[in-house]
Amino acid sequence: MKRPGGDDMLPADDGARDETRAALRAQAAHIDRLERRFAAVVNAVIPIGVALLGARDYHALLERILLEAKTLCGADGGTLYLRSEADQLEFVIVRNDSLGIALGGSGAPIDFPPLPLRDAASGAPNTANVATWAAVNGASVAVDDAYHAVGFEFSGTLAFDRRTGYRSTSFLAVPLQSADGRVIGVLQLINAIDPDSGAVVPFDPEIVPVVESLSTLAAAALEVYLREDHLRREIRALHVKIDEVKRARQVAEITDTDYFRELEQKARTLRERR
Amino acid sequence: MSKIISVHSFRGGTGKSNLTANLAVLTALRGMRVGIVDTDVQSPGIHVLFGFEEGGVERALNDYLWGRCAVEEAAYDVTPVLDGHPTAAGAALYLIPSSLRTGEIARVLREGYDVARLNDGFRELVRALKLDYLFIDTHPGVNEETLLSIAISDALVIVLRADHQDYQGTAVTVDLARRLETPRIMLVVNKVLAPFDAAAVGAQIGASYQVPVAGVLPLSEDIVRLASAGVFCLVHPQHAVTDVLRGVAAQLP
Repeated sequence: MKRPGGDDMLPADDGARDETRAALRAQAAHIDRLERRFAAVVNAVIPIGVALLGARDYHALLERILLEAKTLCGADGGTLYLRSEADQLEFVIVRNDSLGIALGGSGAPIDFPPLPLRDAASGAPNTANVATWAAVNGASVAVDDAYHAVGFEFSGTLAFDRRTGYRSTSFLAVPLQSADGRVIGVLQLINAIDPDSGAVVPFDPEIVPVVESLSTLAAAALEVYLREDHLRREIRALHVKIDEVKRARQVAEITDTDYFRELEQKARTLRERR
Repeated sequence: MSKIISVHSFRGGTGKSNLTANLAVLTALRGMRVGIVDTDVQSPGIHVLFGFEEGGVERALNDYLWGRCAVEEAAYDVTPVLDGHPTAAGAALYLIPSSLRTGEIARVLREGYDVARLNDGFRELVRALKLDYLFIDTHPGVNEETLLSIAISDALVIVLRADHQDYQGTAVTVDLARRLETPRIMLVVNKVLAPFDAAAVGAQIGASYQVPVAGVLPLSEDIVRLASAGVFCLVHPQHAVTDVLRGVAAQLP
């Protein structure tokens, strides 16, 4: 019996047929994921990037970068760090929805100590925290459960959990890199929430490239802001400084001449004579 | 009554000639009869903006100063540059260039000239060409000729850049103009790096000199690209820079 459809192409052997069907399903799922990622970049990341580039308020810009990243991957909390001149990651914006925490930006000031990117004594790079790891390596890193993570140090997180009763579980840290590859900060997201069950789940590997795209645009927006801010400050620094002693001397050199005295007397008449 | 407007800057390279040409053109477009005198006899330049080349200037201000012709004979009618632009009736635009011949420039440097004759020339021009406005593109710095221009002007427009050397020189010029009782003194800040801070730059400079800032012009790529090949407000009538120039022209007496 001849069956309609694509099965014409399938091998006659039942086992081989199932295998091919599974492969086709996997491929379709892969294409579906790619399409979703593409849609996320086009529909979410690019408009956000454009909005960020027009930002005029620095703190609002920083806050927006974190909030957009948090929304994009359905995270309960997150931190935006910026690299300081002392080569540390400073906490700039901290948000946690279920704890109702909003620090930095429009929220309360942050007093968390910065994370050093180098060991003060040896100068060796500090990759103990996920955020510093991402900054040092210029790459994203995800941890499914902080309490069972190997190779990372979560004492700060554990202390935070003890203090607040929170359970920090899944982490995603993405570096903010400028066009020349310099890491200027890190976006760290905490506890991805499954939209259906509300349970804390690991970060979807599919969302990582999307957050990375966002972080590239965010870094560009920060750089534009900082460059413009630098120019603004330079112009403000261009104070109108006039050497009054020199000014008086230069004026006197001219006004003490016979020509000037004569002109001064005639000036009004000259104007009126026209 | 006719008005004499001097445009001056303490140092060269401030965009003085460009500003003079634009203010003169914008005033002419309002239906005024306008003359421009290039008194920068040592380094003339405004003629280029109106399309003159070295060979194109036959009679110049120098010829009048040496007594070789009447001043109005050195005036070129450049009203046709306004063609194609919305112009009120009665508009006329004349240019009295300085000579580009190196021999003439050398003679000015060597012998100087009778500044009083320059003053007579201005008055004669206004009368012969029935001018409403005479714009004087002065020589940078302070010499007898610039002092005379300042002394006889109804308004002095001082062009400066936002930098220390211009600040100092402008302070001196402002003091001299006050001593000569020039009725109106205004500043135009040119080549400001970041357009978004124009207001702050203008406010600061105006407060420092106690002189109104009539406009703050950005360092515009479009101005650089035009490279003195024309009068900016005619080439780019819709440009933001032209809007600032219109604002400056509107503040002239």
